[in-house]
Amino acid sequence: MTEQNFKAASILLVDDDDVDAMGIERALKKMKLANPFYRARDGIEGLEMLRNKSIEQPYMLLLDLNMPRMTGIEMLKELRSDPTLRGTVVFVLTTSDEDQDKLAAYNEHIAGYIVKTKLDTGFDELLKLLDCYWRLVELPINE
Amino acid sequence: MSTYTSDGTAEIITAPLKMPPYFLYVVLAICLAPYCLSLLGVNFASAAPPLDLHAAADLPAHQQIELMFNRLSGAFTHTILEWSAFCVAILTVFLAASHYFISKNLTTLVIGAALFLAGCMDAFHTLAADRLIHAVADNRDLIPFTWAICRVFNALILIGGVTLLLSHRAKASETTNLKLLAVAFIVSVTVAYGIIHYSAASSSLPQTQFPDNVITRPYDVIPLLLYLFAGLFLFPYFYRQHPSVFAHALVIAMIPEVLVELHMAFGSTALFDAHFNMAHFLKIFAYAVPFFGLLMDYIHTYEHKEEEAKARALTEQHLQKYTRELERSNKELNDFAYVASHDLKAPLRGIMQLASWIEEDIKDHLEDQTREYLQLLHNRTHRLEQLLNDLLAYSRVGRKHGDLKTIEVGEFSKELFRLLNPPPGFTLVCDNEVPSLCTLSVPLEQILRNLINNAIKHHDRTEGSIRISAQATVDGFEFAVTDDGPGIAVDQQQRIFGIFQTLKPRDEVEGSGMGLAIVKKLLDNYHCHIHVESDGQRGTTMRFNWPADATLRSLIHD
Repeated sequence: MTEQNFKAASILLVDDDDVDAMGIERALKKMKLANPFYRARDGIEGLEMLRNKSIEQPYMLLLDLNMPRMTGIEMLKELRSDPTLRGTVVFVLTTSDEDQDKLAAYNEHIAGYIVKTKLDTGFDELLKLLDCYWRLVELPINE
Repeated sequence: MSTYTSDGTAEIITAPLKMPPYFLYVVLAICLAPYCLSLLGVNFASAAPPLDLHAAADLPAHQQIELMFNRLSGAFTHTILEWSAFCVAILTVFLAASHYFISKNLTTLVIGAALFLAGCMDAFHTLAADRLIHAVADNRDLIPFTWAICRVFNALILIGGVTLLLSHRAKASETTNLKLLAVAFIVSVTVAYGIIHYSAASSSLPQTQFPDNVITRPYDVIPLLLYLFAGLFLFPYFYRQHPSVFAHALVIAMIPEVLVELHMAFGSTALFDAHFNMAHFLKIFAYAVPFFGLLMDYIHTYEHKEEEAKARALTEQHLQKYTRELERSNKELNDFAYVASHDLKAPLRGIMQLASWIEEDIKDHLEDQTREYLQLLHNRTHRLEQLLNDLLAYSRVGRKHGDLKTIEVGEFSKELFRLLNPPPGFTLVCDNEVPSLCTLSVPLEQILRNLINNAIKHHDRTEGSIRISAQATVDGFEFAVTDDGPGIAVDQQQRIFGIFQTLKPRDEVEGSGMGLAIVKKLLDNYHCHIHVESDGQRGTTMRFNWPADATLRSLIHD
């Protein structure tokens, strides 16, 4: 086990819905997880935070698709064409279960596509998944 | 006036199908002009004084030739007049052919060819008279005799052509018509040449001119009668049967034809006299009238085609507009589906989450009443979510067909039944005559699942039996899903296929009321129908047809 795995991975949520942001914070608190949590309201704000390096490394992205100013797919395309950010681990978290959205997201090499309506018991399951994920999976560190 | 095109649709004719009125007056004026002028003293005769050969023998050669030319002025005039008529006939046949290729109207081609044939015979007659083809007969007999034959031939071939068109009912193919016409044309030209040749080579032609009688050239009475018959009866009848500008001109053309024959039969007493020349002049005009008619018809047809093209372009424009409109409304519908899936569902989810957090946070202090309210809040938000999901499913119907695959009807239905988690008292029976079929399984599954689900959900007893049957029909299959539930009242049977239609309050039987609407839309998509059979007392059968795989394949390709 390398050193970085002792440091809890940060979670950046890019989503315009305040209730979802509250839900994740609530679930983090409830499950007593110490991961640093950041929130951006759209793709532009999310990219800014990543490029300013204001997010503690390593990090994982939870990305909504339908947002004002810059949608999730647009932000994914930006990320994948950015030489320093292209390796970012992204989970899409959206209400849309349209096949075309899933296809478009997986084409941008996301780690997983999660439909919000399937999370029956709030975000607990999602956070369990993320907790497992950062403990087992090596996350990239950007220079 | 309206006419009918070959495919039976009525179309509006913008201009009347006849020559303009002034045309008739001009024709009458020109026809009567030579006679009136001759009454006023103008001499149209071209008879020259006899040539004194003895006196001419002493003259220089060029003067001899000049005298001979003078002596032959009648023959030259005759040739020029005849040849002008022939030239008009040539122009007519070319115009008729080009008119035929635009309008595909056989009338102009047949009459044009007939006029050209008559012109050819006139040309042979002239060549024989001028001794340019072999001739031994005395011109005093040959010219009037072949003239009369030409006129009879002219009248008969026009009458024959029109009769042919009147009797032509069967819709033979275009090439057959043209071949027939070509054969008739070649035969007629040969016959025409043969007659002239025979007459010219004959040394004993009958007497044709009787200067002392009232009827000076009795042979010309025959064409006169023929033209009168054509002008008074046949051609007007033909015009009524096949109205066209050209057919109208053909009727008018009989006026100069009749006048030609009057001049000849009752006037001309010798070759190249005034009546002889006037008749020949009017014959040119008799060819020219149908030519002008054809020209007017040509212009008319062209304008008509242009108007048709304009109308077509306009229709096309309208069609494109409607297509754009349809595309726009389809897109709007799809956008709406997306709005329903995301923009409406997202705030709804927020409400659901907030309600559950409130419940979590204050669950220790909740009163029973409040707990019930919260329960109702959950229930209603879930129902709203379900409505949105089903609306989305409805709007997505028809987007995907899936693939054709072979299914075992019995196994397929039982699997669907199992997946629906029926209560323990429910059974499914399959009495399918069709053991397996190759079909689009995705929409068929969606239809059957909804119908089986309805049969279970709306059943009023704890035990129930559902029967599925499949039969082969002429053009595909017929499926029936029968239950022994409460039945559907007859007056409610059409309502159930509408969107958001339920027959019971949603608090009693939870449902969005979209199931049968989705089924109906799926079936509409494959041009199939569903109907309800129920007496409203007990049991319901939902019966629908389903296409054969060949039909499905062609539908997918479209």
